[in-house]
Amino acid sequence: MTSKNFFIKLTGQNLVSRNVWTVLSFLAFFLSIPVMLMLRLDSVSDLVEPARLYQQMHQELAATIGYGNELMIVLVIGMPYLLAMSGYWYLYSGEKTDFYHSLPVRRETLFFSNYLAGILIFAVPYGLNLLFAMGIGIAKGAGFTGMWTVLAGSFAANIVVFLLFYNLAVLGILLTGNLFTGTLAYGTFLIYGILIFEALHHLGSRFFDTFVSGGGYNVRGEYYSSSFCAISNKTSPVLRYFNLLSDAKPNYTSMGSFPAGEVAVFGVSALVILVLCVFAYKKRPTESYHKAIAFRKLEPVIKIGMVVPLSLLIGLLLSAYASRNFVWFVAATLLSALILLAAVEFLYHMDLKECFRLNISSGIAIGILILTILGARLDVFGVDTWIPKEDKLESMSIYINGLNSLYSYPYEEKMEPYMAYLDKVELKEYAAVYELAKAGVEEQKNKNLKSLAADDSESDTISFYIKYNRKSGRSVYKFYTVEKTEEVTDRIGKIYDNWEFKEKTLPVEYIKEENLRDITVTDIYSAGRRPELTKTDMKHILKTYTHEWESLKYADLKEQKVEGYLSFRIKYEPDWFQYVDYEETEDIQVPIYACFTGTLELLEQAGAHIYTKENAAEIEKITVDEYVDEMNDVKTTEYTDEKDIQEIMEKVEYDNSNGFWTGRMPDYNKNIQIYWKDGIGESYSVVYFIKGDYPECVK
Amino acid sequence: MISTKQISKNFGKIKAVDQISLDISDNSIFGLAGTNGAGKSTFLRLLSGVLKPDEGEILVDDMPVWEREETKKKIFFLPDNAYFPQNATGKSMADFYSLYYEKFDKNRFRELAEKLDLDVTRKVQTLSKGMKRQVSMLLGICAGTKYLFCDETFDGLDPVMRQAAKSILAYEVTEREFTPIIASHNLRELEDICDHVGLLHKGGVLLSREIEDMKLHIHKIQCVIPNPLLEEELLRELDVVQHEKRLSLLTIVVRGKKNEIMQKVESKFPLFAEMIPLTLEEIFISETEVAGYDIKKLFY
Repeated sequence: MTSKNFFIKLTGQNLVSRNVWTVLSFLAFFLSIPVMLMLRLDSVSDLVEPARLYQQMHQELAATIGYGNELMIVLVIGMPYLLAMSGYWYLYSGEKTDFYHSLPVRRETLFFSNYLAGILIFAVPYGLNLLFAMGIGIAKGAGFTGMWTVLAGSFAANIVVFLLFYNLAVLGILLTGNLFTGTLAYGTFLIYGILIFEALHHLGSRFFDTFVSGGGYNVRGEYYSSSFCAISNKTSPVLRYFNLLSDAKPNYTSMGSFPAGEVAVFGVSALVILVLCVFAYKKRPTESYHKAIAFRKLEPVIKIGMVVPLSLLIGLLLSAYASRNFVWFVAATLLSALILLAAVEFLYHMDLKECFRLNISSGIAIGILILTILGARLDVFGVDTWIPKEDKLESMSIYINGLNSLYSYPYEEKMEPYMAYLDKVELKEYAAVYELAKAGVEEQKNKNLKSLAADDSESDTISFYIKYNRKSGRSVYKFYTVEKTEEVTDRIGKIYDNWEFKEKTLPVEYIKEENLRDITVTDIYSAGRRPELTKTDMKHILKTYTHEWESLKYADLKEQKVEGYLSFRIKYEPDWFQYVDYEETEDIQVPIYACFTGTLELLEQAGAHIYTKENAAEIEKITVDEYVDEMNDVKTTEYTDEKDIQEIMEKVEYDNSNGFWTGRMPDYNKNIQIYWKDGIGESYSVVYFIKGDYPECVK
Repeated sequence: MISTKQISKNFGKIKAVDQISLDISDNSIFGLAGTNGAGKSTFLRLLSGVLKPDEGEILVDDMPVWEREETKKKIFFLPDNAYFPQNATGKSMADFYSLYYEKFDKNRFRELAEKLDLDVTRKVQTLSKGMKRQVSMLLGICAGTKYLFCDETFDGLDPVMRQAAKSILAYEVTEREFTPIIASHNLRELEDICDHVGLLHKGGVLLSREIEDMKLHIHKIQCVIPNPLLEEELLRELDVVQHEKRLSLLTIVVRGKKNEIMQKVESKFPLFAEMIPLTLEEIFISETEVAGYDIKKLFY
């Protein structure tokens, strides 16, 4: 018998002995693909108007057999564990190991026959059910144009992803000696990257003022990351799989594209893990069954690798309940480390006496923790004071709280605004930005300011995010807070006057004329007034407004007041909003400065007068509510006298959008409401007094 | 021929096999005796390539056994608690093994099963412990391997089946190149089938000899000597391993040549004197005493 024939027979025999799993696999895929498709197609035919039925059914078919089938996630992650267990379960039993390892067959052959059988149990039912679903889709009239590509692509992608999960599950079994630790091992492989990421993220946030987490979930629940934490994040195959599906997902314009790059990463990783599996299988002592860890030498490594990040994370999370107190943090970290060390020892030996036995690896784990805590506390590596040399930079990005946070951008939906902005706006002329960053570093060296993550529009500090884009290709994100001096404001002014910055910062730059649907106006008179505008009018207003804003320099901006807001209603771009076959719109709100005479004139012509203090004569009365004590008791004063009204209107400012530049901070303790004589104007709180600058009648 | 050289195997802090050097000749039935925990099972698992020795070398027909397909094809291992896959029948197990052992004789398996009244289509999991052992035994014999390692294989068999199994083994040894190695803690079980015995204790081998060879040097005599003084003189003259007197009947286990011993006994004018067969235990008592061990403490 040739070795090839022998291997095929062995695999066949393995498949026969695992026929229950084959049946279960087929059923699972049958429910997840053909049955799911029928449910989706039926629900579509009930809800969608006949004219769009074909398109919707086509999309449903593409999603179900392609990258948009959520049940496949469960199968691709869950089945590897079950198939690995069913294939290598014998390693956890002395009798079974004796049985298989006494057979005249090399361990590699035994390993690969089991391995291949597991893959076939997954792949064959999967492939058959895909074809079955395809048949159903065609029969139901969902069409097949481009569908074979989707089918082949998703099949290949899911098989490669499955292989990585499967290899990890097998490796988990080979490294352990019982079901409990084998299951833990697989779980750990899946989430260890997240654990490390979370530990680093919380440690960085806790100890470093300039630390930018650089990771999190966006509004769609997709994971993104941008800093050094990205490396650890990418080691979680689960998150990577989610990202792969997210990238490949069918949407409004596409049935889904084959994520070749990510699939290649999965493929290479799977291959590396497979090599480790073969090595582990060959080296695994037969007598490892019933032990927690199959390889004695790995016990301390696994212990330290688990206990250090876990106890750090527990310490950081627990100390958050004690106002991030350092002593509490140290106590919680060390206590949780001791408990975890004892738990791991118990798992290893199943003997309570062993839990409290001192050993070198426990000492090393505690030592690493102490060094990590001290290193972070004392910032021994100068994380907060580090700045790259200017000549090593390719470009820089800056996001200034209180300035950039005033605006919304279309790409915000992808991730947090500051992170999206930093990735988008990379300035080649960055001398002024670098100077500002240096000021931030100096502040860190002096440590005379506390970081403020909140909007700084009403504080005497300015905080900003910096992204250093180095020539080496590596990017570093930092967060700084500096004192709001005239020098600092002037530096920011320089940055603002840089066309490269302005071009990507002013939201109107992202509005395409053809996407403009509507314009509304908001001022002290009312919110959301809609003037009668033709498309040409709207384009004209957009053009004029854009030109005026682009021309506004920092020097002028300092003297300006905002009189109201323009809201441009625009159509969503297809890649902004998925799964939509009807028009969705979004409002981009921008300030109307008093010096925007062209825009104001066009609005006036369209019947949308912008009400200002010049319209004081049309005001019936003004009420000022003032919080008088800590119990939130409110004292209301009514002003009806024309002189008082005029005096109040001279002092109030509309909104606070320009406070960043003028440095004039509103007094939110005084709530002002304007009542109009015509009874049409809305009475709502939209104007404020500036702190310390009150009219005589209010004082 | 199987030859082990200084093989050792540790399970953590426990020394399961300690520096065992042993030669097992072909076409003999080798008994591996020892108390529970003596290392018999570990030794057999090492020989069959299930375990890798920490130290030493195992050669089967001058070839290493660990991860050697060709060597392992000569070996069939019947562990103490044999494993049968779920839903396996005797027939399916025969099919299973025939894939690995080219010389597996399915016809002989069927014939022997019929003789032993075993239903080979019945699920093995539903069989009694003894019947499972019979199935294991038949699979091992029919695999056609040169070596068969049996770990406590006769344990659980009724006397009739035990005898049948022994007969089959003996038959195989005479019919083909076949060397069964039988591990057991029961010396009585080994003595009527084995022609060579190794005694393991605490992971080491105390002795390994041919039974017939051992029997040449130790004898058991029962006699009645009327004169107590002559009886005492006889006990002094002989190399007595063990003696017991019940009423006037004196039973002695003695080292030495048969003729010389009998001459000395006859010279004391016995009313009655005869040599009777020795049990394996009695032989072991003699042999292990030489090695400085008290066998009674090991087995009783």
